[in-house]
Amino acid sequence: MAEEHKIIFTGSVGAGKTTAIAAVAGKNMVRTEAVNTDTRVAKATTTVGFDYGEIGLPDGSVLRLYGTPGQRRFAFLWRILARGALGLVVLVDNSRPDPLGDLAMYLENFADLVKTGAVVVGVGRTETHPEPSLDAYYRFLESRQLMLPVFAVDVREQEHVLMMLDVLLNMLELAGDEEAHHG
Amino acid sequence: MEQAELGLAHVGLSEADIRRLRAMLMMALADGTLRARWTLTDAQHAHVVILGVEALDRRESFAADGRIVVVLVGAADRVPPGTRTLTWPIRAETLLALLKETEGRTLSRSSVDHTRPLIQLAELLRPAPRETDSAQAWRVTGLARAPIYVAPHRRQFFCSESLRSVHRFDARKDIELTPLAPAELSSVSDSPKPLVMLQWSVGLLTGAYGLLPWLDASATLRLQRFPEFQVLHHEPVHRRLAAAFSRPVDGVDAAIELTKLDRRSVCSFLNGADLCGYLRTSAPGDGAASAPARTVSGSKRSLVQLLRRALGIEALHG
Repeated sequence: MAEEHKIIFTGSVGAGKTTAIAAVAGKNMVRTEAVNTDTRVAKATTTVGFDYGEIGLPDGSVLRLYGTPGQRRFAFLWRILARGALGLVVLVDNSRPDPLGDLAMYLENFADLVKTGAVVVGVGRTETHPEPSLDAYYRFLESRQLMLPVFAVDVREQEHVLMMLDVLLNMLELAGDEEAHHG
Repeated sequence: MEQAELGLAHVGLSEADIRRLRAMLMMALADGTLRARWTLTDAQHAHVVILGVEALDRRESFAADGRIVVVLVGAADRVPPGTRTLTWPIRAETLLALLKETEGRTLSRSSVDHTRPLIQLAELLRPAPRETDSAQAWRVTGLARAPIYVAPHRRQFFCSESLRSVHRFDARKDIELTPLAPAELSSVSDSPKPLVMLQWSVGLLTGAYGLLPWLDASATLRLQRFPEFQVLHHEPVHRRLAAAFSRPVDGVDAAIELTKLDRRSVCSFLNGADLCGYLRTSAPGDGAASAPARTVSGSKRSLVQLLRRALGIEALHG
């Protein structure tokens, strides 16, 4: 079986994980969406297993971009997916009632990955919901002794997704070898 | 004081001549009589360019920006009259003479007449302490085709054109700063833009002269937040540097070693980050802030390069 390199996209329901993966993986994407029965979320379908996009590498290995299901009841899946991952993209929907609380929950559930430092935070819908500001996100992270990149993004824009992944790869590389975390 | 940095570039040289040039540059630097810190760079950022005969037809384009351009010629090569040449093979003493001549031309010109206005502009763009309540505004001419009006207290600037023209600014040219009364600012009809965009752009420009005077190249440096790359003009090297400085780095030299980028790129990024208020510095040797040197194995670099290529990120430009 080809060697696998994993990058995880996580975040709340509707934050755009599936869209972000599709923006870079294009047709090489497997979706596991079902009709959304959660009436609190204005979304026709939602991810019930996990999504992944696959990109073949010249050396025969593959890069898989996994999107976790957003609902908290799937937290057991998050931990399984995170094993051996290279890095994490956390997508936060700024239009939700408590975006910083959402971020805290994902950082806690992916604590092992967060320790490696290869984590990027993308905040969506900031144009219609400017609060909390990016400054507030940085203050929140600093209160937890974390310094992670936070970007206002529109994951429908491939350029935004690639920018986050480029920063993530740089974080992974420049963290130094003592931080290597790859299974 | 920060040593000035000058760049040497080669275009169209054979692999053997490039290796020899590198060796001769090392010898010239070891001579200890050069005033500037010389690095190999690309032709666009260089102060002196050595061309192979094959690249002779590009001589005019490089010389147009005031660079010294010399063509490396062997005994059998023919070049047009008036072409400045360097005799093959490159020797340390002739290279040293060329670099000293370039220093004589460049350092005197930039440090006296041209650097200062840009540094002055950088100084007035520095993030002000919160208690400062000066309503002083400024008109900057020469930096872009149209005048730029800067209102630091409002965290805004006004300009009728895109900042692209600022990024093309030749740092050797003059700019003029004129104080404006608040009433004069109110007559400006251009739409306001966030000051951070101008702070970042001016910071990048000043990297041509090394670190800003108030920054210490040996200090422990780290970002307190990432630049807003979605709105700031940037290149992939800036993302790399942001990632590097997301953790403390003990000085500019350590950053160069870690990122494998040139000094000018590192200084430009740090200057931009400082003007935007993103940079945190602490005194050299401060045990609480400094971090152990990070090393990156070749296999890790290779994996990341592979992933970047697969994602098509290498082709991105900000």
